[in-house]
Amino acid sequence: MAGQTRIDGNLIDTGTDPNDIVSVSVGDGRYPRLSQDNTLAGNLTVDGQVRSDNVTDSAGTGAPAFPNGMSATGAALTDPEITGGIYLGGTGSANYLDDYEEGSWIPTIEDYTYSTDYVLLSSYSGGDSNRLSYIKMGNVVYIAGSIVFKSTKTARITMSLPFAYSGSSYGLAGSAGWYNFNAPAGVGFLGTGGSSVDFFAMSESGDHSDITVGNSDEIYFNFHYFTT
Amino acid sequence: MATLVEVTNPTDKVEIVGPYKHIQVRAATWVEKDGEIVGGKQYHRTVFSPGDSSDNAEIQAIIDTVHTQEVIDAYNAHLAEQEEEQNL
Repeated sequence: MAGQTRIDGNLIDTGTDPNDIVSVSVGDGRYPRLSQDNTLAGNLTVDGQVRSDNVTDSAGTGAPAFPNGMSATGAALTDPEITGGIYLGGTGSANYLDDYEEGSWIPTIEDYTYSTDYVLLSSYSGGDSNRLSYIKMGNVVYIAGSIVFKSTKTARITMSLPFAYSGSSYGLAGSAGWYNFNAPAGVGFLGTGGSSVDFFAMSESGDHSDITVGNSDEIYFNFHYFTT
Repeated sequence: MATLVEVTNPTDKVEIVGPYKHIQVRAATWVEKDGEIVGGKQYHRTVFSPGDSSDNAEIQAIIDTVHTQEVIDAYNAHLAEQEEEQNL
């Protein structure tokens, strides 16, 4: 049957195309109801979407029961795109996760020239030895990699970061290792300039000093830091 | 026949952060097949500190606006203080 049928003052319209879905128009204070044997059944969409502000339970006062078990508990979503953030474990700002991002950046190392003075090794899958990978979760950035030196220099190793750090330059946390050059008490690092990290050699007395590197010397690092 | 095209947006996201107005730029690269995005986007990041420049005209225009001489002077003063603090 095509056309319109008016039932109890409401309008049911199948349109003239037999492939049209049924549209239901009801008056104020009334709700469309899908049922089977007087039990609510079926999925109801409004303008092509399940609309929480348009769909209620049968009493018209509570939240609807979503299809496929989707509810406050036990929901399983496949590749949902969340354009805002998500609250985890609470509804305060401290529970709000608003960003996840994986990517790469090409660090600049002050006074050093890529390829001539150093190359980088990391998990970056693109095959470039001038890039490193990062992961950002919320406002925390994770990076890891190695600098392999190819020439002899003596300097601090100042490497640019993919995101500016927030707060103190002492806020970067992680570890750095080294191979083949002299660092009596290890290699330390601090933030510098708001968007770089500075590697230095530590003496047994705690002094920070320049690093003298030569061909095939290496620095390994992994750390995380807060960004804004 | 489907046409695959690699597309890059060099200013997919631009953020100005921190007291010295570091400019964080995210470039995005993706593949389009007949105008539809195939797979995900790949991101590449660059941070511009006061005094830095860019080959990209749009980014350079932002740099010129944001990194005023006052900001650059404050940043350089911060670097000098940090150098002393960290025993560089």
